[in-house]
Amino acid sequence: MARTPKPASRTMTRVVAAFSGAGRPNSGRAGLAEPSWRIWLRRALPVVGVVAVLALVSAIAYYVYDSNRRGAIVLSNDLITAIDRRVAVQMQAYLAPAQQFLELAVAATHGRDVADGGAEAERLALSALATVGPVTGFSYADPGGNFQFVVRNEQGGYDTKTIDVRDGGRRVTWVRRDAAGKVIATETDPADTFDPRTRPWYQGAEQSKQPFWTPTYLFFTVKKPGISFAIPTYDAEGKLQNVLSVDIELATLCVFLKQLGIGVSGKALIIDNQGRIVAYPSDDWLPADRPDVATPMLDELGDPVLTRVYNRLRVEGYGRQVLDIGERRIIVSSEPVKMLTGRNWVVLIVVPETDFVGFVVDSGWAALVMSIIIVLIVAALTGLMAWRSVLADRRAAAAATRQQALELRTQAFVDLAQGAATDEGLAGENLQGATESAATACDAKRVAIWRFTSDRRALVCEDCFDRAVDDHTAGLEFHRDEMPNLFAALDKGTPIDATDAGRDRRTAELFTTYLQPLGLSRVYLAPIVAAGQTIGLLSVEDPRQGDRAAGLATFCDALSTLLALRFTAAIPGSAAPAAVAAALPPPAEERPPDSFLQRQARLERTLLQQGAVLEELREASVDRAAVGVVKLPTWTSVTQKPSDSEQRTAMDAIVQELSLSIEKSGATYAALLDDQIVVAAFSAHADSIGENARCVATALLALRDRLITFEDDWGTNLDFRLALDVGTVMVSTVGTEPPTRTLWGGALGVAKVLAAAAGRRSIAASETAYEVLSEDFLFRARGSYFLPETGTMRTFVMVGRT
Amino acid sequence: MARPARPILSLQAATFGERQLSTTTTRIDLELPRGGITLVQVDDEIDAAALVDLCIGLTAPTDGRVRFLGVDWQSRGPREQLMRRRRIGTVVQTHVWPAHMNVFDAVLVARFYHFDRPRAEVIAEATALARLFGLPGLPVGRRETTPRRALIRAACVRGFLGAPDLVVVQDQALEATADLAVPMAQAIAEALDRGATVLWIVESLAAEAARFVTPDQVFRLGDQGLVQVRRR
Repeated sequence: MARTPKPASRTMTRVVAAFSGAGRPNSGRAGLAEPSWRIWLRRALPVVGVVAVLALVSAIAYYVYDSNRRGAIVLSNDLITAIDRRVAVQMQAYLAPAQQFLELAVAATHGRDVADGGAEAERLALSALATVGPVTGFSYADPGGNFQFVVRNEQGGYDTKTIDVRDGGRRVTWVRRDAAGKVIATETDPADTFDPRTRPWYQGAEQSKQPFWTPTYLFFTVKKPGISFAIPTYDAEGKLQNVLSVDIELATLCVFLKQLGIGVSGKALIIDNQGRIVAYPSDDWLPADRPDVATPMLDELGDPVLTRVYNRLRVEGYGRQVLDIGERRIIVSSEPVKMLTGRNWVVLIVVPETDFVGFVVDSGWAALVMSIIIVLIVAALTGLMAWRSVLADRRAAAAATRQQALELRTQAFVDLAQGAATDEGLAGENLQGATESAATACDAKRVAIWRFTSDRRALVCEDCFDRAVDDHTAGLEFHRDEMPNLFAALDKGTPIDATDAGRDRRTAELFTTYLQPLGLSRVYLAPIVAAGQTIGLLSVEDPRQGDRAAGLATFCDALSTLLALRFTAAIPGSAAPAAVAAALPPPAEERPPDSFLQRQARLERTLLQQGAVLEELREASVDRAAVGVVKLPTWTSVTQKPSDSEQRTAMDAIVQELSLSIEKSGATYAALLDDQIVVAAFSAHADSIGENARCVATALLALRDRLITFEDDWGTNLDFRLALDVGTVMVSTVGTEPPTRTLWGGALGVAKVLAAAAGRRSIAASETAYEVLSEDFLFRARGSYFLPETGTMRTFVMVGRT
Repeated sequence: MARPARPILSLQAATFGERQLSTTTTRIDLELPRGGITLVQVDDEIDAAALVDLCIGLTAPTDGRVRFLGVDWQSRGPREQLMRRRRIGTVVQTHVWPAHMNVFDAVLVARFYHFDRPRAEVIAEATALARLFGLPGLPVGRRETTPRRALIRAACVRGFLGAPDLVVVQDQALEATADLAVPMAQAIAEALDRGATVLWIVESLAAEAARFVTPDQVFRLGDQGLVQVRRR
């Protein structure tokens, strides 16, 4: 519909531009708006700051960790070097007295055999051994097999064992002494088979012809691991004269190694240059009951670390290195210790790197975690500040939006008021301008202005503007019978703001019949009240919600007041033509000339196909009967006993009430068939069809209203439907006394079909019923359908009386 | 030994071209046994429509096979595809109707001109279905003058009309129509009784219209294809 733009429309153009932001460069407030990049920069800066601080803290933590680690490694190297030296010094201090003692003993025996030098050597041993700590025994043997052995006993004294094999005999004598050196027993041991010439110390010294250190072995007498130091003596001709030896228990050295604190789990051990273990920091590393067992090699202890160390030492030689074993880094130090006698032993120190630098890692992590916690706290505070900033922005934006909406509505209202002040008032194009202005100002899909009819039974649409199609309609009617709750609410004169119209009892009927088909759910209804009485309605359908809805109610109320002023001043009936047009039946060219005749023709044709002739059925049929069908609620919903009635069930109460209504209606026929009540009115005269149809229509409206009342009273949902048809029905007489008639077929079947397909609580009507009743009753078109019984037929919903 | 009944429709490793809500290629394996009803939940309506097209041979899978009555759609020419597709009823896109004919003709035209059943018989069947779905008869107006409620029901009539071997249902508007729950259950039960198979592709397994339907198998279309699920 093309129209000359009105001031209100021009205002709305500005409104739309302002809402959409198209006019911002020209508006003062919008022109000062902060650029979006700056807003994002402002919001992102705290985040960037937090990220930067986090990165800085991480870098510092890494630097501190790395430098601490390097320092700890240097310190650990120094420590290991110190331990190396300490072990070397300890060994020197441990072994040197024994060596010196033996050299004195060699000088004392002076190359003599045991028989000659034994007494002197025994005296020396008994007097000196107590002062030479690590030496537990002194051996003196000659090539003839004679042997003297002085050994410390459990009482703290010294026993002397002598083996004399001179003259081909063998005599083994033990002299036992107490701690004071007093001889307490002398005994012989004929079972002793000891031969010093088979012992490692003797054989080693004899073979090497020089002072000889044995490997670690198990002492025969005391059954303890130890080493022996032996010195052979030769005459001028190079003939072996004797061999002297001292036994040194390694228990003291093992205890010393065990007590060394090297990191947390590090250990030091002494090995010879072949990798065989000399001393190990453990008490039971060599089996005490197996004198034949040699001391193990490094790779025979079952320790993977020592095995790797052994392999590396064999390949790379001595030195200090760090081995990666699994996920661990092991520091290995293997420094040779030059013994007094020239024998090379190695002090091997094995310690995990974490024992020295682990505290650096732990403290680094702790520092990093604490730093991160501080950063997170700072980030949370920053985020809180940023969020508050965003909230403030939103509130400012919302306030600006609300302010804008209010200003625009105010301007729209001013324009409307100016339009209303013209000679034409709020009628014609001014009325259309009002709906357009209201629709745009409220950002609603549709805005309509309704006016009560003089009998206040219906609301007629004066003008409705649909923004989606940008067009106006008029003439639609809402009937009080159709929407009793809405009319009751409007009569009170209070606005209705239904966010979900389908759930609001006041607007549920409006939603079902009007809003839902349009796809709308929210509606604001402002009654137009004059002199305390509602005379119309302003409906704003699907208005914008949120901040842009600010002032909506005030605007609508003000607009309804303006409309009330104009309605009361306007000439009665000036807006009526549209409403009258809506009440008129559809244009004649869209209707069949006579739907009843069409149905009759189709019925005749159908009957002929069945071998029957309509004319011959005249006596068994009624030509034009008005038939109403009430499809009663689902039986399970009406089995309860009503609280306000003496009846057994709700259905009894319904049937009772309906029978009274039917009796009052003057219907010719009524029957309860299963869950349907059939009401019919007919007569022999065809010209009384109008009267009969009105009778049944009135009865159906009464029944509908009564059932709605039941719903309200019982607070339940009675799923009832009604239908009305006018047409031929068959009549059969049942031979009772007096005879009763039963209706069947024809219009009764059509009415049943219409009732089954009708909407809840509505009265469906056939085209023939509409044609007969349209002058007196209000109908709404419901669509055309093809029914085999009638052919193509328009259907309607009967709303109420006109 | 009796051979197992051949599925009326089978999708074997059939793949979609592109899906709306997934970045992965979806392989679908599905077999619809004769006389059963299968519910498939598909979140996106466009994916659901694509699945329908795949099932009824309107689009070819990028990989895999889709067989209807044991025959691969792609192994037949357009004419034979059309002939076979007559045995499928679809309740899809209930809002889409031809502009050049009224709803009555749009529902019946295929049955009038591509089958040899008597016209009255077809109309009677259509009327019975229309009344089952809550209409007094078939709508005779054009799509723009026919209420949406009537269009949805007319689409249901069109889908079940002519005793098709396979009925494919997929429409969100229909799913939300609670009034159709009982009629749909009745129509499906009658179709299953005569040996037809029903595939209902729903957006939600809690669809109002499908609440009285007891499916034989329920699937959900995920990123990795169809996953058997339990309907709560």
